[in-house]
Amino acid sequence: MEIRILIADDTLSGRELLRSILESSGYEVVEAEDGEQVLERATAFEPHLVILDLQMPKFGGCAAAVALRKIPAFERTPIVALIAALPDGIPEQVAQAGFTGYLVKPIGPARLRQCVASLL
Amino acid sequence: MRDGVPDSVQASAVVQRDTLDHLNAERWLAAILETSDDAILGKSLSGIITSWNAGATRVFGYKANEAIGKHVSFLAWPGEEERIESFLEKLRCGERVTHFEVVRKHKNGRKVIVSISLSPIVDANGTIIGIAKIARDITERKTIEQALAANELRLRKLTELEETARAEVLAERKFRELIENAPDAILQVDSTGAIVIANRTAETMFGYSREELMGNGVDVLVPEANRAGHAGHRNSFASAGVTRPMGLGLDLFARRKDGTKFPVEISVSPVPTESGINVTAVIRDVTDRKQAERRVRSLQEKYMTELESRQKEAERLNCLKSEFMASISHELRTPLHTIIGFAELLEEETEGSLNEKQRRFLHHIHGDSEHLLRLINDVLDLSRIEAGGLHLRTESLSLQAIVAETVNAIRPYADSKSVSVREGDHLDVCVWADPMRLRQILYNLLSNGAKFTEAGGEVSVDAAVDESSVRITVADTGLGIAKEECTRIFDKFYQVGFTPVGVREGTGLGLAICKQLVEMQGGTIWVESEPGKGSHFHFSLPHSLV
Repeated sequence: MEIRILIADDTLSGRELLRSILESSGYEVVEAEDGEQVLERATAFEPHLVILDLQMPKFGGCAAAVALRKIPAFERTPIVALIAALPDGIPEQVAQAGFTGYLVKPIGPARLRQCVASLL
Repeated sequence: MRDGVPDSVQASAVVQRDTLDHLNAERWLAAILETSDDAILGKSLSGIITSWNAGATRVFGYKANEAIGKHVSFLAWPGEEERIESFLEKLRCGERVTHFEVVRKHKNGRKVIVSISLSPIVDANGTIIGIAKIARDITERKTIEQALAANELRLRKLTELEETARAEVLAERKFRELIENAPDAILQVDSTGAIVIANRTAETMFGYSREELMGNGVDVLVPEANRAGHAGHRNSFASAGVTRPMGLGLDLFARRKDGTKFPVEISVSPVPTESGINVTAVIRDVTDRKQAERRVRSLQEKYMTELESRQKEAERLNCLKSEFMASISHELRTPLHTIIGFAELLEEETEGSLNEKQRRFLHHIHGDSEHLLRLINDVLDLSRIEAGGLHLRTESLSLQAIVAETVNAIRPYADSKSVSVREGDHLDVCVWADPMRLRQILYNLLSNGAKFTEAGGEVSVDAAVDESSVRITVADTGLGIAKEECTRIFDKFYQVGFTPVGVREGTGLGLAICKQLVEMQGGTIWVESEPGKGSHFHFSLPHSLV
């Protein structure tokens, strides 16, 4: 069975980078452009892992994570936050929203693969 | 005058001896004797009067027949006997008495002041046979003299009095002027509250003439609202009897004739008089001062408000700056993230193999992107530190663990330069620091060291406990730094002048950030170096004993 990963990023390049790295490692990838799409695609796609960019239009990564955690199917699914910088308070904020962990950009293939492998 | 005889008499005696016969001479003498104003009398050696001229009758009141044959003391006042006897004794010895002033008794009982001269009468054989006495009445002269002296004394006394009076008037005038022209109003009220003294300043200050003030109740000068308690205050003050100075911070007001109120300061002191205790009050109009105070206060308030609003504005701008920095951070790092990510992905060549030139180009893209990222990170860090937006999370840390992590992180880069990295033997110590920031400092220093060290060289980390702090040293065997550059290298955007080709890849902010981070954690940073012999970067951190 293929392992499914849902990725969410509002930039095309960001999505393509994640997809390329993950697909090269053999994962099945579905993309979302914002928080709304995350919820739609998650219920349809039932991913094993979710990677959410924190800054997205409509509702962002944090709101999406909170919403996902309310769905029984995603109670225990690893959700990783992608953050552009690490200002004070971000780790707490991320933990509170229900994320399993976070990655600070820039994220190269090595780190992403290592992170995903450790959570699955 | 000679021999107690007036000159005229003497002259006639000479005439008598040389030119006239004896009889003629006696007649001359008798005539002179009779016309003399002075009393001229003869006495025996025992004091019995033997001759008495008309002058003697005029001076003493007695006729010749009443006087001749009597002892001379009958003209004297009681108590003179002894002196008369001593004079007679002198004469009996051939001596004289000249111009001796004595008080004698006139027949009518009045005092006669006479100046007497006594001389012995000597016969042809030189034997003293009698006494000649001339008594001049100087009563009138004496009286005049006394009157004159008395007058003079009186005059002197009068002059003195006048001078004293004038001085007193002058002093009084000066004192009055002082009071009249005092800058403060001066009033004195009696125990009933009636004004008994008011100076000119009081007139101008309150707008009442002195006539209106004097004798009237002081209460008209007190604002209506305060009048009720005023008499009570005055009485209790008078009975306490202690002076109360100005400037006690009381907000007092006085009332002008036109009813207007003005702020005053009042000092009061009790003045005991026969009719009870009066109270002297010195009243100062503090309208101008109060106005100045109000002006100062309002200016102060204005400045405080402005200061507050400026502070708020500064805080707002600072907030904006932080937000701007956060947003810049995000905006810059997001595209860099994908550039670096794709570069790394391409370098893996899983999407197809690259030729040598493509690989080199990609390496440049990757390397420069990483450099740009470091630059952005450093600029953001420094701006956050300077804006006070960087908050440390200090805790007790094992230095060894942090050094190990950092050495692991730097090793790939050091290896790529064939520089070895060594951990020292004294790292088993705890420091009080923010782990992330300590890692950042160590990473910066180690990467700097590796950067400036040639292949085959070494960078190392060691520590030494120094009283309450731990001194951590990052040493390299590299190029070294000239003495004059040792302090400037901690400045922003400073890069050592002698930088080999290909290593100008720092941001110029690394050491400035290290300095700030070390100082924020309570330590200091410094460098010891010599060109060609490598550098030792030292920094201190609090020693944690936990």
